[in-house]
Amino acid sequence: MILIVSMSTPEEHDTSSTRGDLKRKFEKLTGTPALVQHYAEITPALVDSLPLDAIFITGSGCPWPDVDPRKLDGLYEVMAATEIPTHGACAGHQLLGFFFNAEDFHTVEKLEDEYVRKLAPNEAVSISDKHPGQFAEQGVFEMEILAEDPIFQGFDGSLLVSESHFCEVKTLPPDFIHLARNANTEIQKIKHRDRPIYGTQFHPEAWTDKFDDGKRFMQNFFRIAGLID
Amino acid sequence: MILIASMERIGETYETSSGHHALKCKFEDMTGCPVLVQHYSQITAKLVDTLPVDAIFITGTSVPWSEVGVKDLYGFCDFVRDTELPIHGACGGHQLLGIFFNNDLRTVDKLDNNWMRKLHPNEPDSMPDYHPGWFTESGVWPVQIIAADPIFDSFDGSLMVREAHAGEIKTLPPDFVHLARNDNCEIQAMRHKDRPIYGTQFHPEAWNDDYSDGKRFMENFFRIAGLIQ
Repeated sequence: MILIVSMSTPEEHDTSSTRGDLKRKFEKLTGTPALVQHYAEITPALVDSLPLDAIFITGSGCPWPDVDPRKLDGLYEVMAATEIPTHGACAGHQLLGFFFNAEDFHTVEKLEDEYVRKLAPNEAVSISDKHPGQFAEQGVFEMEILAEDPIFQGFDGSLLVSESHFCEVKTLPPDFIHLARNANTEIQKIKHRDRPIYGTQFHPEAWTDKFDDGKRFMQNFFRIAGLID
Repeated sequence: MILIASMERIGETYETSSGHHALKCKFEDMTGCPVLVQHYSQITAKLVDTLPVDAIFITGTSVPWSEVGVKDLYGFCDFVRDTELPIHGACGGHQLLGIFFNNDLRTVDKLDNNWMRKLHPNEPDSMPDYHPGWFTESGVWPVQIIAADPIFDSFDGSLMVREAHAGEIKTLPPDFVHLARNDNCEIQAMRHKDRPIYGTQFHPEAWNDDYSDGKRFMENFFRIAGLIQ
């Protein structure tokens, strides 16, 4: 079973069909059921009660200062110890940065939006309404692979993937390896040194028929998790 | 874990619809247990054996039975006929239990719709877009309890519940007990005589603040499943 940790706001999670498309996409890719749970519902006890093969932490449209860190403590405790293959995408990646860059996440009182950079004068704006004046990497971009890893199996030096973000991880967390970059964002991909915990600033799960590198990437992740051959 | 078996048309589940997200959240709030939604065509004994399932809820459907592929039901039917797990089928899910236990599915080419009755001349159609020309029981209706059962704990003779159906079960399946009726539809509730498999023509899961009998009914079901005290 795959656990999808939704980073939607609690209100979005209650009122929308949150992550239904992603659930179906992963079920089709792996033949394994995918359970969606909101981040505030995640605890070590819940994770221990489920036969999980993999965890995927989604992106979010919510500014980090609006997220209560205490609602993330359960997920933090899972991430601090789990051996279950985990992939965080976009906000899920940034969350891994918060978890592993903090000395003790339980004492973190407020999360900050760490913007990629301010827009230059007269620079075109790709998404205007969310974070005015800030640069957004939006669209399909090329990633430069910096280190070999099974997650890049079948790729030759780079991949083309979907991006949609204003913020980034500014500091590589201790115990993490820097796996990919591009000119917009240095820390495009990270991996824990000892455990199969991956983060990507890009959205491999948002593949399309035309740009399907993300699909091959997710297949590699689910292969690492033992879900596909 | 609760498993919701979605009876939506194949290809609709969580791809083009809400994927029962609101119902999932309702059951999670009620029981504190995670809820996994799977389409009926995905559910087999093999799948359920891999999951820590405590209870199964089979949803309703607006798809006429005559348009459902019989072969797509084989795996789910084999599982339901054999399992000891608590099951509740509501509306279409209830009618499906009738189909499973009244037939040897592998000898059936096409399913019957089993409409309740034709509308009388000049009788108003309460849901003209649903199944035109056929009587639809729609709204909140009283249902009379005709046999005692733990599922009716705290009810005194009847309950007020949401109805939205044009079809019904015409014949009580062998090994089933008839639990409730009303003047529109004789087989409003039934259960397997040896196993905790329940069907209701009504929608207990569609309770609201004004009509909350369905909530107490669902609490009784989840109590039978050992999920709440």
